[in-house]
Amino acid sequence: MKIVVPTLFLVLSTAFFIVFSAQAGTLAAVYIFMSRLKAGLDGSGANAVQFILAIDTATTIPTAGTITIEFPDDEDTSWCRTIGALTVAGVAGSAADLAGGNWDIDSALPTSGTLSAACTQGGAGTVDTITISNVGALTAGTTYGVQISSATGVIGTNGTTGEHEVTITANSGGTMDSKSFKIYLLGDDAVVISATVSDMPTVVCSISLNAVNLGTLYPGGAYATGGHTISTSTTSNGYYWAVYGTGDGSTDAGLYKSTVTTHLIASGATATLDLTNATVYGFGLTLSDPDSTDPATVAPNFVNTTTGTFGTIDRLYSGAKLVLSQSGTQGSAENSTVTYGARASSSAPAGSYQETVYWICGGYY
Amino acid sequence: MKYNGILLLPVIILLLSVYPLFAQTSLSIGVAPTSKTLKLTPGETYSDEIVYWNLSQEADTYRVFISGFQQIENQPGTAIILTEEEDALADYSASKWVTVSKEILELEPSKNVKLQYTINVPLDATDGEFNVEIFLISENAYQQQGTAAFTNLAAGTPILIQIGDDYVQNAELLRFVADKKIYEKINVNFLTTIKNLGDMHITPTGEILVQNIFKQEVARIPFNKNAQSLLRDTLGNYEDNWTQSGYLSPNKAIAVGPMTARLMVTYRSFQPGFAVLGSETTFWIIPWKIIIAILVAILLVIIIRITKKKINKKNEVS
Repeated sequence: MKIVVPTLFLVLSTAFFIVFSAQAGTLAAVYIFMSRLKAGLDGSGANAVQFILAIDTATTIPTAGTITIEFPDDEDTSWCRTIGALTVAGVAGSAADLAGGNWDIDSALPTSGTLSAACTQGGAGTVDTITISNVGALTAGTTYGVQISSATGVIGTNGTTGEHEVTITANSGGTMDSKSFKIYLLGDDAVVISATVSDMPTVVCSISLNAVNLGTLYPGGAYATGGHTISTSTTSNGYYWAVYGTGDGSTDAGLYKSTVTTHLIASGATATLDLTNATVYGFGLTLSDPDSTDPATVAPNFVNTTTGTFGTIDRLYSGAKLVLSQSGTQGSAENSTVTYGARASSSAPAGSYQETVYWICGGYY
Repeated sequence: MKYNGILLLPVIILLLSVYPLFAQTSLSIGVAPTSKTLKLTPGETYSDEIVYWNLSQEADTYRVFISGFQQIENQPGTAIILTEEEDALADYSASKWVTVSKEILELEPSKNVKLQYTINVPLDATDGEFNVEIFLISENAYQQQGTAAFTNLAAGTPILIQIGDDYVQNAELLRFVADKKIYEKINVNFLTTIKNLGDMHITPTGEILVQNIFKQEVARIPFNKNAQSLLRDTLGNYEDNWTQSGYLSPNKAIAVGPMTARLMVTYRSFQPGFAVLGSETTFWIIPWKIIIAILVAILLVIIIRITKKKINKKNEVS
């Protein structure tokens, strides 16, 4: 008894130290670059998911090791949709590389024999795991890259959007480096470019009057106004209205007297005109908000909230200014009141002044 | 007196020049489809039709224009045709490929009118995306005199034509900010600018995650929920709004103090996760009116307590 007990104690103590002589460190750098970020992908067909793993160990990991990617315990069977072998290949770079540091893949993952990978599903006390085997020696300070995709085994994504913690471990012969970090899944990550139109979105646009009398303009006098309404409905993603003028055909938009002596009451170079100011002359317009509770928005320069202040317009298509837009569909036609405002300087010669305003309407594409 | 007469003359003439002779009519146009995306090959011929209608009480005449187009004021999803000179110089305009059945359309009230068009892709067309818009502008028949603003109505169908499969989708995030640094109420506009560097249009999609100082999620806002597309070689400004009536999120996280918004955007049609645009911005939500009200209330309570204590002491002394 005097010999057995101390001997047993000695053996157990030694075994303890042997077991814990494994070197466990933190990976110097690691990232997972996923081909899809959408939550709930089942990994089949167009929902296939690929990973590029970049890994730089803090300690040198001997050859014939493994690299594992472990997913959260409460997300079993969502990352490894089907158990089995995966396609694996070393890669010497990826689009996510950050040049100049260890977040930049230096070389493809080395092999000891033939690189292989498999995914296993978690259960009680275990987690979904992707294991890459037959990994060659990993030198500390070198970032290695490897790409994994579905084969017999199928990789998917968990169904919940937001952050998911994964643990990457490089292990060989008891030398082990690992790191946990979070990856982020989105509700949707792609818009399919379609070769044909799947439905027929429509937009209907109307203007109540094609000619607006601006009343009497007195040279140097008060500003005059006139207006009409525009109305819109659409089944498209939203609608927009833009506007441009004609003016004198060369310098600016605005009310133009084309007969001798010609004169332009220009819309002007500033974004807005305060026609209540005695020194300000010109031509502009405002729009009312079609519905304050609606997503329709009047462009800031054209809101009608300040009496006497009007947004200015430019010439030609290239001078078109967006004046009203709405996100989303508009089932029934909604109206906006357009008010034109003009003020003539004391030097404005008498005569007929006219401006042709082009209203462009469309649905978002 | 003579001087006054000279001054008065133009005023009278200007006054008299306003003839109430306006033959006013309304204008209306309906268009289907509002846009079209096609994939064609060099040498291919494609034909289709656009349907127009007029909901006004009078017939309107529209002239048909065919031209390459551009976005209006960097607003994704909008289109306006190029001038003839601009179109001639535009690298990606497909206007020369398109012919239409009519150059003038008479839109009778409540009647559908179809415009047939044909796209003939040249054999030497290079891979990438080209654009063209079939655009209608009303021909206003006004014959008025006097000072007036005349209106013309215009609407079009932008067509995006992809040639070949060898294309690049690439983009750069130029800006992601909140429109203000401090908000009293939760009505935050996130302003994002993306540059399309590829040779296809892109339709960026993603999320804006808002977290409070404790890293708790207080909101998740869809980015570009209207799927507004950005043409090749252009900039696009996107605006996404976060509005909330209270200061508690549905998961009971408090939305007060310093906030961090993280943007994650994907835009590729194939393996979009391999090309993520991301950025972060910070701002503050300070409900200063509520804070001042609470401080005033606390101050009042303190003053009342001190006053009460003083009165009690006086009573005790007396």
